[in-house]
Amino acid sequence: MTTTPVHQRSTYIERPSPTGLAEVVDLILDKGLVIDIFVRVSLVGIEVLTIDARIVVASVDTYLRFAEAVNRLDLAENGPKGLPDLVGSLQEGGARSKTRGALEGVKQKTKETLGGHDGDGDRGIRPRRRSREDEDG
Amino acid sequence: MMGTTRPGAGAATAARHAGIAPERRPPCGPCYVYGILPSAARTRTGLCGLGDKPARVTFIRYRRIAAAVSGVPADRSLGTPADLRAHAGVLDALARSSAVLPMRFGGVLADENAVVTELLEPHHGAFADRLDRLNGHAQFTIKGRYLGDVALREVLAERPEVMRLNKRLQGRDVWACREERIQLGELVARALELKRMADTQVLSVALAPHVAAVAERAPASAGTAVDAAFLVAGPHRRGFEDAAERQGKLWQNRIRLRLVGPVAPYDFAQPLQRGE
Repeated sequence: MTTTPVHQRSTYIERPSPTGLAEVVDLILDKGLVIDIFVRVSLVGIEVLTIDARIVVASVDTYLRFAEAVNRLDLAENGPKGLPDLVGSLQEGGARSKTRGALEGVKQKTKETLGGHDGDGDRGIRPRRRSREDEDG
Repeated sequence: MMGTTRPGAGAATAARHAGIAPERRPPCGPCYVYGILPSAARTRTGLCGLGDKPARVTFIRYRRIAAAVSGVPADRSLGTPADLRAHAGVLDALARSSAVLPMRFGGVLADENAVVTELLEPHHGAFADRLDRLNGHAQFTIKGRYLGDVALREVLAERPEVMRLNKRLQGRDVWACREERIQLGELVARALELKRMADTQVLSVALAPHVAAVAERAPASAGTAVDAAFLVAGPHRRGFEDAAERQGKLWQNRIRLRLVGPVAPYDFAQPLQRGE
């Protein structure tokens, strides 16, 4: 297979480099072949860290946030709280409990990379104060 | 029957293909497996794998297929940003010159012998078939996000029941009408989900003439409009990119599209069951 370098001729779509950390996390998380004989965690003394990046959409908390967003939208045409803000608060409330030690180093750096706003920080990944790396180092 | 042959024997078999150049020995201890590729692939040498002192990526061959492996850092857990980048970097580099079947991040086998006896030999047929199918293709992913509050505004405009309930709740005490607010939120959430499905369908149809396969991805956030991976054959790449561009233009006031690729076919290497 031959490929040529990505050309940035697009004006209507973004073409981020696949090597950015946010893109890498998005690309490989939960993807690829899994063979059940893969040693996980113990056998050879190597721990593999994973995370559950899905966000919880079906919850009362989420519905109340949606209601609040759509309510403000109708009230204040010129300065509503839009979906990106909503998503931010959703992640904070909904997905934090799903996040485990794992890639928190990644997540923190992801957030730094993206300046903490939309982009691909939208995997529902939120850093917690204590990252795995902090514990180790 | 190659059976439980030693990796050395597998290498000798592969040497007949005059493909992967013989190079340094695989790691002695645990092997981190990046992916599977054809034995006959002409791979780049000198790829660096994961680890604080990046180990050289080597290839363990068995008949028609080979595993790209490296040593594993023994003194810490896998999963740092550098580890993830190395995993993807190795696979994307391999994908530039060969079909490759990406393994999920974190695949470790006890040693090089286990790579043959537990991975390559039992799955030889399935892996070889998959590699044949992926040959000449690359993956592109497209993610789209609704701009600002466009999705909520569309829901209000398109769903009279949402508009009615929303109006009824305006200005009322939030605790007095909690149940109705939950109901409103649920309606909005369902409407957004339907909108996402419809927009994903539009994108898939627009790109269909140029793609060999589509893998929809689980939406990662409420603001996600589309999220899908596309398998594209080399000759179709330009047409695919042009079609994506046209859709981006059509959606310029609604959805911002991000196109990533070409990358290794991460979304097209389905999990296998033992014995497949």
